[in-house]
Amino acid sequence: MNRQRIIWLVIFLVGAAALKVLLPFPQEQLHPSVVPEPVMLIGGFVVTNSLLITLVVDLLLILTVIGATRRLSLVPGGLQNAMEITLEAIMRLVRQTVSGDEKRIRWFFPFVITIFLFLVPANLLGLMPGFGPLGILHYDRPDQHTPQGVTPLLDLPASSVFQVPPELRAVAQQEEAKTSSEAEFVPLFRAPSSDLNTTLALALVSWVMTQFFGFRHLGVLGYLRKYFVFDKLRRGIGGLFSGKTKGVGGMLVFGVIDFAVGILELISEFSKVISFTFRLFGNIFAGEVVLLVMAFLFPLLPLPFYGLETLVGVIQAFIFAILTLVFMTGATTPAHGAEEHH
Amino acid sequence: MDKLGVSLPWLIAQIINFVILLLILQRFLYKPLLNMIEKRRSEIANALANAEKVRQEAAAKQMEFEKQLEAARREAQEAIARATAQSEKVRQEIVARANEEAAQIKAKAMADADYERRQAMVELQAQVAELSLAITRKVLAGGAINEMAHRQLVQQFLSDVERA
Repeated sequence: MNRQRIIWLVIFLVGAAALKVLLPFPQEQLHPSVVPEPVMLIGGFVVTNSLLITLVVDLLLILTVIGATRRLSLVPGGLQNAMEITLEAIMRLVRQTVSGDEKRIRWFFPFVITIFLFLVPANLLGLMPGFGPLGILHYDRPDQHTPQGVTPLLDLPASSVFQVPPELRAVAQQEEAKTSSEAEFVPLFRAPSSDLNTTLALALVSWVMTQFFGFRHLGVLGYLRKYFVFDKLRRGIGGLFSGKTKGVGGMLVFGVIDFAVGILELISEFSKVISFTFRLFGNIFAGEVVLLVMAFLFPLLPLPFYGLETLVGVIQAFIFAILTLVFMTGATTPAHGAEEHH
Repeated sequence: MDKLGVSLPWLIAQIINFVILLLILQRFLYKPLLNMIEKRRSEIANALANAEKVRQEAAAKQMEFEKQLEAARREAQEAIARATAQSEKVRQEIVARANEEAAQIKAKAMADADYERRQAMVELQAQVAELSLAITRKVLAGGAINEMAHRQLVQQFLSDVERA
């Protein structure tokens, strides 16, 4: 990357930050909604603003793919080099975690890297200018007026895909919208990660694949043995019946403990979905709320938080990917008791 | 779940989106790039191995050259030494011959000188005899002469001769 490109990049970033910080925003945005707002109606399918941006993320990634692989060469440059560095870094991490097991590297790597590559733009796009203040105004009754601080950018024709009927819009606010004297403002853009559907979808994919790899690698019984631990309990009871009383007491006690721990692990396995979902959503959504509140307090105040949120976005993407890797590795590692019998 | 905005169609849309994205990236990004990285690794390994081979060959060749150079140098040294010895011998011979010749010339010169001297002596004696005859004749023709004068004349004559 030459100096001129770096200068342009810096100008772009600073400009984006300045735009984001200085743009007026609707007062209504001070009540940020957890629910993604429907912004389009395409063939009966309600597209939310976060789904729209998910498609933008897809587009960005596909453009990256094209840019990185258009002129593949042994001496990489630009985008190819950047993507190779990312891939190799994640690959090294995966290799270290599964200690060089080629089969599991092949299994885990696509998930870990795709989660990371998808989440970085998904987390960071919310920091772009236009996220928040740009939106659609819905005039459901003729006497409704434009809310304060909102400048309608264009008049949408009644037949446009952006005209979503009120009954399909934010369910929770429907009653309020009917009685409000102001037109309803719906932001057009929303970072995918500040929508629980996105984070839950990723968590489910990660979790289901973790279980799948666990069963596949250890066998059905081998995997279930991690959570239903009868080994010591069975030996203790067996000892009780055969009359060999020596050490049976300890065996029984530890057997019960092992069994309880196994059940706890089973419960914690399911709780992973929830922690995955809400960790990412909470971090990104809260970051946007913080920026909004700071912008409301004073025009330049969000700047330090802006840098912080950039960091949080990348770190959360990394954490999601790494936790997926760690859970997958854990699921494919045999239980301790089983290992002893091998 | 409704209050949190989670709804099945959106959730499924996101899952499908992720799966499709994964397949696309796997096919068009990870595979080609990882292949490229692998190819580069093997190519670099090859190049390094080649370089090592070439280096070893060069080292072997250099050692051979040095050996040859050393041999050539020794040969040259020997040739010089031989030539020096030869020239010394020749020089000594020449000097010896020159000395000999000089001695011969000197001896011949001495002999010549001796001969000349003797020759001169003989001639001188002859002249002396003739002169004494002439003197005698003169004296006799001149008249009487006493013993004293005679002796004086002879004496004078002899000393003249000696001085000559």
